[in-house]
Amino acid sequence: MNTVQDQSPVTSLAVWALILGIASLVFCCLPVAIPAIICGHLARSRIEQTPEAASGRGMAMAGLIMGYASVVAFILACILGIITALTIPAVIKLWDDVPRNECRDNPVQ
Amino acid sequence: MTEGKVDVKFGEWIQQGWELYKANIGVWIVASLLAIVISVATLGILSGPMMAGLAWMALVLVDRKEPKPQMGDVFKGFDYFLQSFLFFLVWGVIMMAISAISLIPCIGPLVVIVVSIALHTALMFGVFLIVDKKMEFWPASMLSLNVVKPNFFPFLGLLVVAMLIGHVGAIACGIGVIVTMPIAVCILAVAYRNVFGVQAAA
Repeated sequence: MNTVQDQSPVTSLAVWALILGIASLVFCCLPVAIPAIICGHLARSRIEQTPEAASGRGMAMAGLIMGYASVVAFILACILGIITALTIPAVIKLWDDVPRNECRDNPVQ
Repeated sequence: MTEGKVDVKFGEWIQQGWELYKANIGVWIVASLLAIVISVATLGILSGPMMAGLAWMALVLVDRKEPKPQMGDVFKGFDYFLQSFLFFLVWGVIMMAISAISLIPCIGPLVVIVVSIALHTALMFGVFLIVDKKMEFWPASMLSLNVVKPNFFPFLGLLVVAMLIGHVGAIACGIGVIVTMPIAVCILAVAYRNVFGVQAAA
């Protein structure tokens, strides 16, 4: 069977990238996503420089993917928030106008 | 490697899977709890590597390798991160696209259920191939499909039984899945090893 176990230890940076990546998704938190991305990149470069001394490429990549996913989610949430903030006053104004018109068209006898 | 008729030994494989699970029940429950919690918390992004970790543990037990897997070995799935991630991502997207058929009135939902079950059956060995033979996700999917195709209905039966056992825990507010899901993984691991053999995997 090819279940060859990596003998080289998993670099702590890769583990941190994974933990921070999971935390950034769970808490939708940008300040956690950025360290996850930094740790992921550092871990990857360390593993590429000394592949015999450090492993954990998968964990580093997982941390990176989740970190970037959190950043994208944060940006999308910001855009959605801005659009909502811009449109809600117009919707409220429209909502307020409708009953007033109805009352004007149907005066009490 | 087997790409012809396979003798699907239902009872034998289910019994062997159950024995594997029973002998390591504590490890399986904790590993499965970790896998499910992490998969859900990450919105499914880590489902692939977590499933690969469980498959790795099951294959080590099937092969009676020493040392026996520990609960932390579920993270071994990260050694196969990219391929297992892509496997779940690509087939997940395909399944979502197929789900659009359910918008067709009357027969739509039925067609989606049938296609979904067929796809699950065809890909039942995909993750095991990625872990055991370090294959890329697409060749692994195609190999699984080619092996299952000539024996579709026996494998469909096996998958249905494994999934019924694996999801019976869902009755207990879903929490029971943590206990029962590894049984399905063990049964599929035994089936995989019997179909593909140890020699081919070396």
